[in-house]
Amino acid sequence: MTAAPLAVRDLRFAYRRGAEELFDGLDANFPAGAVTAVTGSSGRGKSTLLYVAGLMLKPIGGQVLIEGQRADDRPDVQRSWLRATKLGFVFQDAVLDPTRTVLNSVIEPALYGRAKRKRLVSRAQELLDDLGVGQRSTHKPGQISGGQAQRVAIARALLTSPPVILADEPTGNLDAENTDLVLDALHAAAAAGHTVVIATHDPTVLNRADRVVAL
Amino acid sequence: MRLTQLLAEAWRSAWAAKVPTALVAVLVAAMCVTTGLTAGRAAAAQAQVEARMEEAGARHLSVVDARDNGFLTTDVIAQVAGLSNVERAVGFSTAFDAVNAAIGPGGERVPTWTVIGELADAVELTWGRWPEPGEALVSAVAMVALGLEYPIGAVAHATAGRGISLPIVGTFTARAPLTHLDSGVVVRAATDVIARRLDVVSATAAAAPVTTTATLAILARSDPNDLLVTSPATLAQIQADVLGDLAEHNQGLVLLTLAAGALLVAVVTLADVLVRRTEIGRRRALGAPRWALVSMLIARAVIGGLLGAGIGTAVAIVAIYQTGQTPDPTFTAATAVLAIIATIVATSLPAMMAAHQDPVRVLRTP
Repeated sequence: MTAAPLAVRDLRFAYRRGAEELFDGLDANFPAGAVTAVTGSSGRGKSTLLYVAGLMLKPIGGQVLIEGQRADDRPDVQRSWLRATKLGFVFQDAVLDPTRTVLNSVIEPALYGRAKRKRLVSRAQELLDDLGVGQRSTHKPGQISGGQAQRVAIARALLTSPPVILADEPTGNLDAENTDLVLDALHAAAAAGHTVVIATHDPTVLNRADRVVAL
Repeated sequence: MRLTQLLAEAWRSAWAAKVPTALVAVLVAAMCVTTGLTAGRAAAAQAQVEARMEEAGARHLSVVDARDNGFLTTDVIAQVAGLSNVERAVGFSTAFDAVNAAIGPGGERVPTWTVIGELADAVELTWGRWPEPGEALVSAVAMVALGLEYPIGAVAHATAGRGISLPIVGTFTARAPLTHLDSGVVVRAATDVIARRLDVVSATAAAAPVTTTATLAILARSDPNDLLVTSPATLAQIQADVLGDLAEHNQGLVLLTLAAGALLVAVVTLADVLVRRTEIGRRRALGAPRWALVSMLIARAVIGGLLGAGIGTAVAIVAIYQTGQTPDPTFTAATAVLAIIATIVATSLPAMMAAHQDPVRVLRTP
């Protein structure tokens, strides 16, 4: 049996010693080819789960497994490498570099994954075309809409073809039309074999998710 | 992250963040200018003081055979001249008066010294040839006194009947510190002549005390009254003290300037990374390791620092020249390097703080 691209075991987390513990020993698998929505009321740690699974926060107990291998206890350099090669992030606000063009923003992860920039330029343009923002590739983030920026962020997350895409409230700031476009893109990524995990409380996202993990 | 990519990102980032880069450049330039105009000028002054103190007069030891015991032989003078700390040593007989041999005893008298040792250690030949034993060189002043239009002819003892005349074969100027020779005539001694006075020029002022001790050891006189010694040893001690004080003062000024500049660079960098928390968080999320972020932030500051060091050093050099002093190239280059090192040190702490910040807080939208 193939290990899930992303799994957590007996997961517990607290922002500081003595603070409220989150997840209560959560066990979950996030299978490939499916969109998993993580939901729960405010303060239950939806976004925090993504950042712990994304190796940006360290759990106080339990494990994070990437492709069956424990990853949360590795040194910073190895966790950074896993983020650059195995994980793709989509944030609520896109968080694009205002000084780079759209195309260069999509290519930015190549810097940290030691991929050849030239090889990824055509791939980045293809992703932008697929997501309907190909004509904006020479624009700066300030010259495109929020929905377009979020699709650029999805292209950036997909650039290195990581097995896992983590999206934190990716539709939180979007209107219905753009929400559908972004969800279409994420579902297309799942259909292509990626593991997609979305932290959300948006009913639209929950309705379209293949699986839901409630915290 | 590859090194070339890291440097390219640092350059791109420095260009994008023009204000903090310019501020770092201005601060580093200010460090270089301030150091140049304070400690740099002091260093230039120190170099001038040192040069003056190293002039031959400050390195001059003279020994006189007070009782005419005849111990300043050619061999002894050669032995002293051969000491490692000695630049040159030359002996002189007791001066006597000479007149133009063509005029005779009624002529104008000029002082004349017989030189034992290398004549070239006492004078520089300006015309003619080096004399053989018993031949003379005449100074410009002495030529006038002797009534010579050209340095041709001979001089003779002013006291009639005291020997043969001495042919003049050229002219000379005296070498420092033996400038008193410029008033008269020098005669090359025969090999068996005993000197009355020995003049020694030490290689450096600092070596003068050692030279004095070594010379007296060679002379080996048991009765101190045999000798009349004039030594620069005290001057050498004063030189060491003055230069030591100046160097200490300069170091203090440099450290103070660099510390103040580094503190301001640290403040600018801290403010910059606080403003750029989202950028740093984004880079972390996309896979940048902490070392790469720290290196990039430092490299970015160094870019501004290099620019500032270049401008600041140029301004400092021009300003020092304007004051009539010559900047010390080693000091100027060292100041620029120290300013860059101070920038790296000052940037390191804010850079490490930025690399360890919680990226989630800046990436999440409440």
